Amino acid sequence: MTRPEEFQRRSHLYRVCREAGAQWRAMNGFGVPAHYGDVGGETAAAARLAIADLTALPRAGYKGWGMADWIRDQGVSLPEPNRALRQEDGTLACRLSSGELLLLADDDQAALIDRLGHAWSMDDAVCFPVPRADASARLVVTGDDSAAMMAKMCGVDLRSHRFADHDIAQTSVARMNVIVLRHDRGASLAYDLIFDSASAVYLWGCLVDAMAEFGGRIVGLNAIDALRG
Amino acid sequence: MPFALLKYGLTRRHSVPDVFPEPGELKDSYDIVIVGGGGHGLATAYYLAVDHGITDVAVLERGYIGGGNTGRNTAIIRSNYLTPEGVKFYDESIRLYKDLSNDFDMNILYSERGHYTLAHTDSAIRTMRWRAEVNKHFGIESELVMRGELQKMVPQLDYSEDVRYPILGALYHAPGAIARHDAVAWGYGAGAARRGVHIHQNTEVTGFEITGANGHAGRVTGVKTSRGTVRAGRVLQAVAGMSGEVAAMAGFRLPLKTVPLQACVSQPLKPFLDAIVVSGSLHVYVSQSSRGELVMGGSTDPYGVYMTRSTLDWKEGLMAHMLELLPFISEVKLLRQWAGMTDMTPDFAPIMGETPVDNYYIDAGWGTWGFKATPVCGKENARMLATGEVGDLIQPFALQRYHDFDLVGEKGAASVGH
Amino acid sequence: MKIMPCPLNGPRNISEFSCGGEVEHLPPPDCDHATWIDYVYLENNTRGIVREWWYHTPTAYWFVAERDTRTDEILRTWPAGEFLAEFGERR
Ligand SMILES: Cc1cc2nc3c(=O)[nH]c(=O)nc-3n(C[C@H](O)[C@H](O)[C@H](O)COP(=O)(O)OP(=O)(O)OC[C@H]3O[C@@H](n4cnc5c(N)ncnc54)[C@H](O)[C@@H]3O)c2cc1C
Repeated sequence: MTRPEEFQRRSHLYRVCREAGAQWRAMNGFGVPAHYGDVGGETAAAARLAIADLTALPRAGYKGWGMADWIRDQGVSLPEPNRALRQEDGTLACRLSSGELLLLADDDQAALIDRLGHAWSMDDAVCFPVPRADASARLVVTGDDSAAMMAKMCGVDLRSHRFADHDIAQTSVARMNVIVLRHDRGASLAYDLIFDSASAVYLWGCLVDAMAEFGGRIVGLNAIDALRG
Repeated sequence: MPFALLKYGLTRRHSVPDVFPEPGELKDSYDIVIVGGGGHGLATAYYLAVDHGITDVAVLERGYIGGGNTGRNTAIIRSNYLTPEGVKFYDESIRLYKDLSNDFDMNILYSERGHYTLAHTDSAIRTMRWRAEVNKHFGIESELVMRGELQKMVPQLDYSEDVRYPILGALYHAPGAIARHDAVAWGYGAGAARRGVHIHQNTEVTGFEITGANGHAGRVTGVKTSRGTVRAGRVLQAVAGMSGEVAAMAGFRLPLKTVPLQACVSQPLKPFLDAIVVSGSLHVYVSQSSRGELVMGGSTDPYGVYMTRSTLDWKEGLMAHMLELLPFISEVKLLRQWAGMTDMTPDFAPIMGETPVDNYYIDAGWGTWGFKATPVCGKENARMLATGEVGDLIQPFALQRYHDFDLVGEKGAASVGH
Repeated sequence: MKIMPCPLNGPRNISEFSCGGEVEHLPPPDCDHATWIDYVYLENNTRGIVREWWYHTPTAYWFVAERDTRTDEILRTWPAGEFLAEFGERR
């Protein structure tokens, strides 16, 4: 049986996931929870209410007065602030302000993120990289009840008719600064949460507590992939 | 006797004790005018009469006696501060407090409880040790107690280790006390009034008469009020949250921000908490009053307003932290909530003594920590107003210190700990 | 909860912000001592309408808000750039 310690990289949450019975697979150099022993049940739960740890997925950030110019030169299409736009290779470009961008990949094929990493140099002084890969954690809350559950933890109205797919709210969730991105998986409502990785265990605990009343479950990446279809 | 009490209880007309003789109209002139009828102003009037025999004094209060922060605080009294200036000053205040019930012939319910400032980190333990050493040097009972011992002294707290702020130890200050704050205001007010001081309620100060102000701040000669102007020999302003406004009437600026501080009490519970417990990291402090209510407070509002409104989010934040210390009170209801306008200085130390205006003195910058200082402020202000000399105890708190970059640096001990 | 209309993020709970103090005029570096002390320590502590710097913590975003300290009403907000363009760098 694979153990998370066999991998070079691990999420801040690996102990918590191990305790919950995670079965591990390799991705992007990480050991990630593939499932918790009940793939069918987890996939069904993900459509109702579930959380998963996506910290292993590639991401990057760029910031500065010259960010927009530089990033357009690299062939990236930019959305308005607080919106995300899907790029050709599937990467989501999340505009956090006029001068800040966050890039999120949904699998380990992170062509755009790798290309930008190689293209950037110190000479592009008005645009600099933000260390998102290690400093941030990423979780996802999926399913029909996710908006109702998030309402317990967050003051922004995230209901699906008020907060469209690819809308972003940079706000407070369980008293922490969190970037909330609505990013539906297939037909399922889903919110990705990106936040300071040092508080991952705390926020995970809050989510587990908040979803209990709705019968939510912790699921592996396989269930999330199944939703994406 | 029980029958007399029963009969009194059943009568419809209860006589109101005449604590403050109504002084009637403002006189044309007073030797000393005190602006603000909070504890500090009233104590000053009291000691002017008692210590110095000066009774040609008016206290001008725009509302009612003790309706400001004096009647709104959480009544914590202690002297375990961080700087030598602070420690000496507050210790003198405690000494005076202990005799007040006798002096007034009125019970101020002064109750020594023991004050515990919790430490949740190694660096906090280090600061507590530093404070304990400074305190002991000045003869104040103050010591660091570590977790195991603390657990025996205050067993009510949650000592779990898997919490965000585990309790590692505490600074223990045995003389830490609470008192009935209204009684302090009434005791000083009644004592002053009985000796001839005029206490004018519903009298708002609206300006000052200042002479010789050409190129110089001038000298105060009169006080304008909503009920007319009075001539004054010396003037003291002691108006807490309104300090900036009143100083502006006299023509000078202060390093103060007016920020609300909220507090609340729970429904009465059987006595279970004798200690006063404070946590700087969790921004909470709590004690149980003699009526059984938990008296709770926390940090000041995050931004300034000139209002005494209460907010739900402040309370939610406070209760979240309160439950980390006392998880079993989660079903307890809140009974009352309120706020006061505090006058916060950048170094968390007060501003006392002379001002740029001659014969015009100040008692301000008492922020969230001035109730415990009420007696010593009264004593020192009275001496200053009577003699024109600023005593040693309050010299470090001069307004001039900002001009000299000589701040007091009491922040570590003053914030949240009250 | 009190709502602050953030120029970047729209209406948000005031708990997401911190107040950075009144918009002030930075004196020239060769100003006299009294001017410098006034700038460093003394406060208007305005009772009335005041313009202040505010900071939205989750986005590290500074902007200017105008509010009434007597009523706790927020009257208007500007992105920092717009405010400086309207009132000049030196306000
Ligand atoms: C919620 C809260 C909790 C606190 N807890 C503690 C604590 O536990 N321990 C502690 O030591 N301190 C505490 N404090 C601080 C303490 O209450 C104050 O520092 C202290 O009471 C100040 O007393 P004062 O007499 O200077 O002011 P106040 O009691 O506020 O009196 C000032 C008076 O001036 C009057 N006034 C204002 N403007 C005018 C005018 N123009 N003309 C005439 N009158 C005017 C006001 O109406 C008021 O009555 C707390 C404060 C608050 C708000």
